[in-house]
Amino acid sequence: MAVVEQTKDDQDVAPLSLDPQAAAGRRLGKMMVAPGQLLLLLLVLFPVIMEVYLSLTTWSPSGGTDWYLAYQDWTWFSNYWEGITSRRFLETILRTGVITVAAVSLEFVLGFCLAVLYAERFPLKRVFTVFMLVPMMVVPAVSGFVFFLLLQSDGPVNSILSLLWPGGDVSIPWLIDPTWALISVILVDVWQWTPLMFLILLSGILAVPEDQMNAAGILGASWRFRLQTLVIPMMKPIILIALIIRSMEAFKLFDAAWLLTQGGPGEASTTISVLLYRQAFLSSQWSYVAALAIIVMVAISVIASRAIRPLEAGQESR
Amino acid sequence: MDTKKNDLPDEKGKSGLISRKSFLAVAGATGLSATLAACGGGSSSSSSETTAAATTAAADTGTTSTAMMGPSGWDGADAFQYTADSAPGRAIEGAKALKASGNAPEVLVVGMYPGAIGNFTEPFPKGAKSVQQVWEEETGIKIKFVPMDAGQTYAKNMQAASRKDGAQNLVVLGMSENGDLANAGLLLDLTDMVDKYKPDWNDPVMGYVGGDTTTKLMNYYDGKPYAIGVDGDYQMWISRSDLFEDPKEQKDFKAKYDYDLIYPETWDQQRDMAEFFHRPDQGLLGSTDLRSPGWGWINFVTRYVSTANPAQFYWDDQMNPLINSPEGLKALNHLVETTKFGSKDALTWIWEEQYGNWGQRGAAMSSSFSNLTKFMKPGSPLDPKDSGSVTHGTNQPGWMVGDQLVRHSSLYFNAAVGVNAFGPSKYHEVSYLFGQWISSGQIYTWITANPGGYEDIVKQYSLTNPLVETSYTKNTTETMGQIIPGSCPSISSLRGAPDYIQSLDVNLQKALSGQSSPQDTLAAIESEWNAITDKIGREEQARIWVASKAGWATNPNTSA
Amino acid sequence: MTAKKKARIAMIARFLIAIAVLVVMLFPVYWMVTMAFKPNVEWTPTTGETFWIPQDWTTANFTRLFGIQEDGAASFLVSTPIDAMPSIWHSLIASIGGTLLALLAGVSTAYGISRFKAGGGALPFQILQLRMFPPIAVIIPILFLWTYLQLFDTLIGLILIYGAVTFPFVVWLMRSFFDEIPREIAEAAIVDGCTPFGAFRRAVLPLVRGGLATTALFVFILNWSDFLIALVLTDANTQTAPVFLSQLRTAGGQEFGAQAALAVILVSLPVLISIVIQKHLVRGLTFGAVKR
Repeated sequence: MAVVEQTKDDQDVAPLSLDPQAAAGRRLGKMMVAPGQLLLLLLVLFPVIMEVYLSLTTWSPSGGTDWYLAYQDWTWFSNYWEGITSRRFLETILRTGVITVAAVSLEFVLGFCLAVLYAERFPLKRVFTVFMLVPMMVVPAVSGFVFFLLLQSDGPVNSILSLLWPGGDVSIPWLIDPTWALISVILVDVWQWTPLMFLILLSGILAVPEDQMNAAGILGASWRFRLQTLVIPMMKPIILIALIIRSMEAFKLFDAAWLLTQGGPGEASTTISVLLYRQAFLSSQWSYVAALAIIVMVAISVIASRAIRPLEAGQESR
Repeated sequence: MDTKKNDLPDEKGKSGLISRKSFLAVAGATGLSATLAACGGGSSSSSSETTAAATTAAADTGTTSTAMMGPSGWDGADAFQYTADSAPGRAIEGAKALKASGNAPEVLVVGMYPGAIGNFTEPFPKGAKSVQQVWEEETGIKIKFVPMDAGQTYAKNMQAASRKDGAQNLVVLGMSENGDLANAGLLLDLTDMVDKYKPDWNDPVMGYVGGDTTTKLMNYYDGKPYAIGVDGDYQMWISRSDLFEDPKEQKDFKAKYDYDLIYPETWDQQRDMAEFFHRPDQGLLGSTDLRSPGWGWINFVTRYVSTANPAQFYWDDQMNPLINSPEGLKALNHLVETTKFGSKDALTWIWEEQYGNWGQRGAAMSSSFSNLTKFMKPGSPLDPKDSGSVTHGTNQPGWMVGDQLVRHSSLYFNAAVGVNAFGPSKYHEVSYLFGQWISSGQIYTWITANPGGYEDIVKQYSLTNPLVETSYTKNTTETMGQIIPGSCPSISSLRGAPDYIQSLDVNLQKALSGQSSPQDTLAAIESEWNAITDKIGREEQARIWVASKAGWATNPNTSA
Repeated sequence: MTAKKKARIAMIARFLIAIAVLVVMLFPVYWMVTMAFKPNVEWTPTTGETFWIPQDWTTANFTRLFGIQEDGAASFLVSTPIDAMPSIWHSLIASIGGTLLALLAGVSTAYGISRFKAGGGALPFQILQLRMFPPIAVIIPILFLWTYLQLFDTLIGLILIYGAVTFPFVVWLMRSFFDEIPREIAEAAIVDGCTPFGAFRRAVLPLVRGGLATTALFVFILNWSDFLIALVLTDANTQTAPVFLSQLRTAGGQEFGAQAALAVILVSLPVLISIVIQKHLVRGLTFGAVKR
């Protein structure tokens, strides 16, 4: 498992101007991160150990034995082997990746456009901002069933589209056709989380110091030029964090996929979480699920650690 | 005992009931079967029950030896009363004794589907007590129902099993979960308590419709009782009598298809009729039997099990799947082909949509639980167009196998309660007794009549009870009487049943959405089923499968 | 056209576009809200009719949630009165508690990392890794751990787990806010006689008020909306609102009306909070005091 090892002697304490303060600072620093580290220990250590343990066995609660006796069903890496050679698992990972990339890209683009829109004044902007955030405040379990009702073949969405589309009768099989089902899931995620992107990016835009923006404006730079050369570079860290965090979360998407189509039709909208849900909740393949979860976790870890590099590099130079 | 009302019930079971004294006078070893036949029972299994009920509304004043227990105080309550010497009576007396000896909790915690809690807690008829109240008054033991979402019971139960959680004294489960949960140690083996308290499950008058076969289907796993079935989710085929009995429709049908329009007896007929009645531009769908995930697979099963005489099994006795076969293909092709005669959204419709549409007179045929007729009543928002009055129930259509028409229904979900082995052991017995009580002919009949919950008809006694008849329809009670004895289990009483079902369900969805050909689909199911079996252990699984065949109908066609 | 007029037209254009976007984004919310006021017939799917506006406005769905049965409204069947209040209460306590816990541990950790690089260079990533496990898989070991610690089906247990799973967000978001604050600020405070902690509390913390508000809101929403964790880690005693909502079925079917009503109640709290802190929501990241 790719847990990056914590090296205690790596304490790069940034240079402080006053030396006696350095020690006090280090002490305070250690104390301040202590609760977090405790939490980490408590909540990561046991689950990870248990999951690793189970993943190396074929234990299932339907066997009637306690989980710590799982060694009686020891099997080394057969669960892992089964996972990475499972067409279903690999397709699901690919599918989830597609959903993640599509959803997060759309959320980013839309969020950015909206942030640019809201960067300048217009009447009722404050009110509108609050309302723009409402979608992400709707409980995902609720947005699931609301969209289920909206996306029926003769439901409101198709009715509205029929009004707008020249020629009248739009009947998109949102929840029935394999491709459209995938689109529906992406749509719901975009609906729910674009406001978050919008908020973060807007904050980033507004964080650019006004005087610099004004100065550039006085010098004749157009809005677009200022955006490109001033705003976006300064927003790089924020953009990166937003993308990484949102991608991580989107990869674990469950509610929309399950409530709209149960991962269907068939497996057309089955994400990793849906697959794991089927195996862990509608079946009792807990050890297989453990192996799959570890594979997923490692994969995300590797990708995320790559993606984070520019951010960390930025950190070092502080 | 009032000897005036001695009416022996006729075949269709009117409300007349036998007085105990005269019954006993008549009953004898040889007389018994004749009398039972007259009762409309019919199973030849041993009768442990003879229960009489007063036949008059007038109070049974000053009678004799046995006091009547059970609900009272309203017209018809006597039908649900019982003496101490009966399955429900023994349950009450046993519970009282256990309470007296300190072996019963203050509050018995019972898991139950939210949609079924009303069956126990809502007074019915209006002004009467509720089932829960009667138990609490007679035993002094309170009941607390914990809502357990039907889609979550497997997960919650399995988690409770792995944690040895004894918070609930009685857990609720669907029929397909019994194998896994018994193996996980959650469900207590009820054999000893069944022997001690003698439930009425096999009684010809009070027992499950279909007798021992049904008992084995619902309550048994690996030859032992682990659960108590309190539901009857058999699939009834429903057709619109206003369409099927309309002379013009009949004429047009005959002209087009060259045979008479009847209520469908074979799947080929059903296909023609679905096509004939599929008029979406007029707001009428041909056949809306469900096709969605979790709901559609049972409609494959109903087409599959009747492809052989007496029935087509899912596996052979060595646990080789029989589903990838000409029979399986016939069933699957029919399922896929007839989907177009339903809603465009057939792949997302679950029973709420189906019932809503039926209530709008939006379909000509469908397949549903018997409780549909309970909800299709004038004044119900589910039945704005009085569809209830034109709903005609029959057995599922079947197939001609040689010269024999084979017709089987099937069932799925089907709530059962089980004793939580991890609950305090001194409360196991009283928990079981609550289960015996609610599953008794008298009490369960009262339960199923209640429109406050969706528990369906499953007990013989319910078929002839006037309250049930009013709640459902006479046609429904008659039909259920035919359907249940001739039904085949869906996948249950087997370890890993949920896995087999998931594999079937997901692959069927692929076939229905055109992502996989029927042939490939069946091959995929076969290979996945084999993988599941191998993981569990083929020999053991085969043994349990063979044991579960005791729940299969042996008669190819019990439709009137 | 004068520059001023151009600016004006641009502003109106922005306003119109903003409205259009809002309408599209809020349509599902509109649907949810209207469903809460529709009687049974109007939200039953497949009646063939779509009711864009409730014809027979009723508050029966709401009253049904709190034990009052009205005939012919939420459910025609004689059905058991339900009470959503306990589950709402549990959600409130667990979410607020979890948010506070996450903030406490997270802000502290974020500052430690940002200012002192405490815990080592790998700590931030390790904290992020907390969220890389698919929750479905990790909830099962947590279930066992909670059982052993007797935290199953308790509010404390929920608060702890909610705090723990949202803690990474607090760390990462607050760290970036702290990173924006130059060290000179804290150092100046120390020169003025503060302890390092005092410098943190008095000089630095007030400057990230806005970021704190935004982070708090975000974390609260996550906890408030949680379904899976509550589903597994609670039972009858501490059921939360989202779980309660998912179980709203009578024998007549899923009670979309009552579910929508509860959803409306649930969404109003975060909306209320965001109205209260709207000042901080966006402006929070611009610190008037410091120019770079």
